[in-house]
Amino acid sequence: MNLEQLLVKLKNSDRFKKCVTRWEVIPPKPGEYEPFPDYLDKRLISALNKKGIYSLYSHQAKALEEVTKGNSVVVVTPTASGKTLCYNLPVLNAILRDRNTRAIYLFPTKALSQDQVAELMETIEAMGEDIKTFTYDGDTPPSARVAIRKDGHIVVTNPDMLHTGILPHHTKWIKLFSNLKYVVIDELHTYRGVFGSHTANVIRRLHRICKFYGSNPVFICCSATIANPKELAEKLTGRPMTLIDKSGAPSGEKNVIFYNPPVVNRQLGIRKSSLLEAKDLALEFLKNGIKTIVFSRSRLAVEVLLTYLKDGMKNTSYGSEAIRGYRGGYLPRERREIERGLREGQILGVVSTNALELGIDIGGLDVSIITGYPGSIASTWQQAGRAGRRSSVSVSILVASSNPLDQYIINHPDYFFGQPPESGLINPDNLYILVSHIKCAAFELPFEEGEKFGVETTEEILSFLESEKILRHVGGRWYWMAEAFPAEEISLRSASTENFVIVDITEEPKVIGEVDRASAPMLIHEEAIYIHGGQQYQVEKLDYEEKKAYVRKVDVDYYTDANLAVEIKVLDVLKEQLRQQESSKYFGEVLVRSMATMFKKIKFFTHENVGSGPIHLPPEEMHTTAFWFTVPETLPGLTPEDLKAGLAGLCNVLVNIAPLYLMCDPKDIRGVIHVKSPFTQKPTIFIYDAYPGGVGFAERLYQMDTSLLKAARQVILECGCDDGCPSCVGPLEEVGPGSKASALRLIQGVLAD
Amino acid sequence: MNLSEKLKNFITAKGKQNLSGSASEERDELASISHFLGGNLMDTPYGRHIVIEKVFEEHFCHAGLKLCAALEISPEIIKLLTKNLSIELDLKKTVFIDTETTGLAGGSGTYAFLIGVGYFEGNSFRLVQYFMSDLDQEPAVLYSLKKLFCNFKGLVSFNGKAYDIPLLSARFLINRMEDPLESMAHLDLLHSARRIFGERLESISLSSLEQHLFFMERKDDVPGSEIPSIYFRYLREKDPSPLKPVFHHNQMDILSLVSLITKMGQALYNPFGTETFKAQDFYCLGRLYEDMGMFENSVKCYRKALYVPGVKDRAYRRLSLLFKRMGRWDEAEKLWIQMVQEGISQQFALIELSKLYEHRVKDYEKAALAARRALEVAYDKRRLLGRYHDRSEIEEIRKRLDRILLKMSKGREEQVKII
Repeated sequence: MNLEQLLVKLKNSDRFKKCVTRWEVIPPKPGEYEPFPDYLDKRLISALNKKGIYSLYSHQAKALEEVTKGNSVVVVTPTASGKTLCYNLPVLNAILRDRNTRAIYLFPTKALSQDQVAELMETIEAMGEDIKTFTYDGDTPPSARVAIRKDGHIVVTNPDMLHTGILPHHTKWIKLFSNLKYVVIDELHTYRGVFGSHTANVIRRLHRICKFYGSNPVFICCSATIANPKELAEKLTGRPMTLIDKSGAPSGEKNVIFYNPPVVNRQLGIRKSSLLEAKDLALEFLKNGIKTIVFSRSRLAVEVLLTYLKDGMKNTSYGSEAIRGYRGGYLPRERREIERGLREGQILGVVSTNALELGIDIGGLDVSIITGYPGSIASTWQQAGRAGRRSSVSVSILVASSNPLDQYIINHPDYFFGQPPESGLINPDNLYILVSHIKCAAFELPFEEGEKFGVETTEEILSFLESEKILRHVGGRWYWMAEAFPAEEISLRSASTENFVIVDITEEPKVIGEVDRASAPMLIHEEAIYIHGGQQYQVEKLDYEEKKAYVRKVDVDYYTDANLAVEIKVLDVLKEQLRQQESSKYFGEVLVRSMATMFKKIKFFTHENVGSGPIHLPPEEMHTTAFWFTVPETLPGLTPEDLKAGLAGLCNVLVNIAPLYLMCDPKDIRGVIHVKSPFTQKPTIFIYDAYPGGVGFAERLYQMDTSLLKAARQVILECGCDDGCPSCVGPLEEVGPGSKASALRLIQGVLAD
Repeated sequence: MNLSEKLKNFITAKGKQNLSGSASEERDELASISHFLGGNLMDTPYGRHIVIEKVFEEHFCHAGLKLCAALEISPEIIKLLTKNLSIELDLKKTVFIDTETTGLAGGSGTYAFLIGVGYFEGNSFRLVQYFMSDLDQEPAVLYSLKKLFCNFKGLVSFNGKAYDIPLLSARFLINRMEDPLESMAHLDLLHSARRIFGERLESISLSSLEQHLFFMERKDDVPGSEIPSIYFRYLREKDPSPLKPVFHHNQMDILSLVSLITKMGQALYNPFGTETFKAQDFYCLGRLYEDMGMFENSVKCYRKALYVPGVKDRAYRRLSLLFKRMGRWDEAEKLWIQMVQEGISQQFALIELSKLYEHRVKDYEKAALAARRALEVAYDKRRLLGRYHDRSEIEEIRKRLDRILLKMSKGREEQVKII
């Protein structure tokens, strides 16, 4: 059966239809084409012809035209609409015209940059021209670095490397900076929140260095669909942008199906596992030879699903080898091989985390199955966009888990289809972030009097750093005056980049993968079943100091899942204020400790719990700043259940709306509730900065708590839902009944206005 | 207090105080610092800076050597020291240079606040220290330095290739000045010393060389790692007294550069009659002479190294290969046989012997015998090392042996035909 026939079959299946809460059909769209403009180099045109490209999509032509005119652009188009040409064309065209032209390509991760270099190289090779493209990151050997600095036409790197490796050593990159014409920022939407705010400041530093060497590059940004691409790009680069958001790529008919697994226990309201339902749906397509991608939310879920799908395909003509897993932690070579297999067609199905949500080129797929709501509207559209051909039908199925947020989304499809995708918020002027980059900038070049770094108050900050003996003000300039290398002390990201390596000792020891530090206690504690590419391994020994896990191949009928306990402890109160009656607010330093405590053994297919064991590993600790406030313990008519629902609901609303005031990403802050806090002895809501040391969010919330609570009240009052939804207090199933009303009572009790 | 509060407090407090002194006060301060340091003020188009000069007369000795003895080093010896046949470095037109910087990590925020240079004027030696008494004097200092460099063609440094010179080049670039260093010939004594003493001395730092070559110990020397913070403290307090030891340290470094080049130059003039070269040094010298094409000297050095533990095996190998390269086959053969007998790099020696008998002597019996024994040694090694052993080694010897055996049997067939 082909995909059309399968769709008809599904439409007529009562069992399937019963589970569908929405079947949206997006009609096909013809392509809009433009001829190659006459200023496009003939060599480039013939290389494109070799790849089967004889004209441009309208958005590519527009990008080429604007960039050639010297305007910075932000291009927002769906997955697989040929967005890489939007930057490769103008850049290569300029280099062909003048061999001194230089460009920097910034990608948020190393994996993406390697993929892009490979594609760019192909085009360059097809032209037979000597245009040098190099990746410059932590893995670049020192011997290659000298050549890259001197001869690289296109330097592919990431913001972290620009921050610590390139800008502080700008004198070694004189050729690049004196001739820098283009800066490409791909996956713009990932530069949100704290990471985006840091990167915006790295780009401010880049502008200073370019100005010193007399260049003024044009920025070419590409973004997935978000609510505010132009605003984000302008804030990130400090340059006015031309928005190009009308895709000229053709697309076939697209079916988006919301699927809620059937109820298996009516009394308890338990539904069938989303994992098992996703497996059955995927096999339906795969057995018919239809190219399918299955997304799931965790690395563990990827491996469990992969095990099921390989098992299900074992006896088909495609075999279990046609199904592969893809996630962070696979070694680069393995990932490249999978990407190629997908493009070239040897691989029929892939199970992935959101790692494949970004722009890695894996060609067109027919079906995407999303196991569990990815947490944001933008991500859901990205994952759905992985299925989509230029001319034929494609299908995306969102399979809901029993998680309250999933249940809300799947039962309120209008909420999903009616909302714009989330905004990417950044605040480059966040004082903590700004000051740390002013230090780096002063190290790179002394500040002149009157010089502005993003903000009008630059001089005040410089004087402040002078009073702290970090800068020296003399002869009309501010000079760096410390031994330390400032960029090395400032990380652009919250998570450490440390990894644990996984060593297979079944035969000769060999490294098979890696796990980031934060996930290690959950995934590779001793006795854990670590699954890699569907193969099971048992962890025999975890050398925590050396960051190595030694594993041995096993064949068992269960996998393991660990529990993580998170607790928050107040270390120091920096400010406190009694609001009135029984409510106080605080700002201070806290310790957030997360510890893997025990693991469960879960049987494949039935998901029964067949055993458990303790985990003995040191906790991961983060020292940060928090804002917390207490609410009155007793309010007339409020039961303990109401209090709990109200606290949970109020905490959710606050965490949902605070990013709008802080201009950060929802992931940059976290909320915790204590019905009776050991510290305040009262019902308490904590909101903390999810960054070691804090970046000033909690402090800001402490200052603006009244307006924040008022805004929360307004959101709850204005929300049209019955008893809670993700836009206000959270889904009913998560926070409990009556949360909206109780949360309003709590706000009233605190504000008393 | 957190950051934003500190900033707020700072801004409100700032209005009340007057931070900057008057221009004339600053001039007086500069003059008094200069006076204290025993320096003079130098005027440049970029402003003033402090310069401290000292002349060491002809008879002056440092580390037991007259400074001007350096001028007697011949061009050939300079070539040996740089391991570069085409270098032209006339010590009369050369600057000895050493810098003191504000950090060891490098990067464009690191300044060379003190640049010490020394050069000969006739037989006396002039040592000039350019000092940035504040960070804004960098262009003035660089201007003076550049002006001085116009008169010279070469540089002598210790680790300058990796450190001082790239740092100064970056400083010239940041101040938008042309870089005079690019075109100068450069002798980095760290490299020279490492080439010669690298096997014998554990550390090739300037202080280790002073200890081992000059038996000299510096008294009350400032550790290099403390220099940046001394300078920063001076900038804040403008009390120049803690700087004096830094100036002294820099001066001693430059004088030691002169003594070091003299010591090494004199030793190379008469390598076999000097106390400077000992033990493992001869292995290193052997390699140096070999690389420079001075094979006779190289043979002599290797011969001395044959008796030195630690480099003995490598000396045997090197010497035998050098004989082979020079076509001194008898001596090579003798050495290889000796190596086999004494158990020095046996497998290597046996393979070389096998090659010699197969290709030159064309005695296939002997060639096969040597190859067979090489194979035995390789197998022994494999038994000891297990799977860590390099398989290709054994395969290569096998191939060699098979080829020799084939040649042997062909030879017999031909003999049979003739008969």
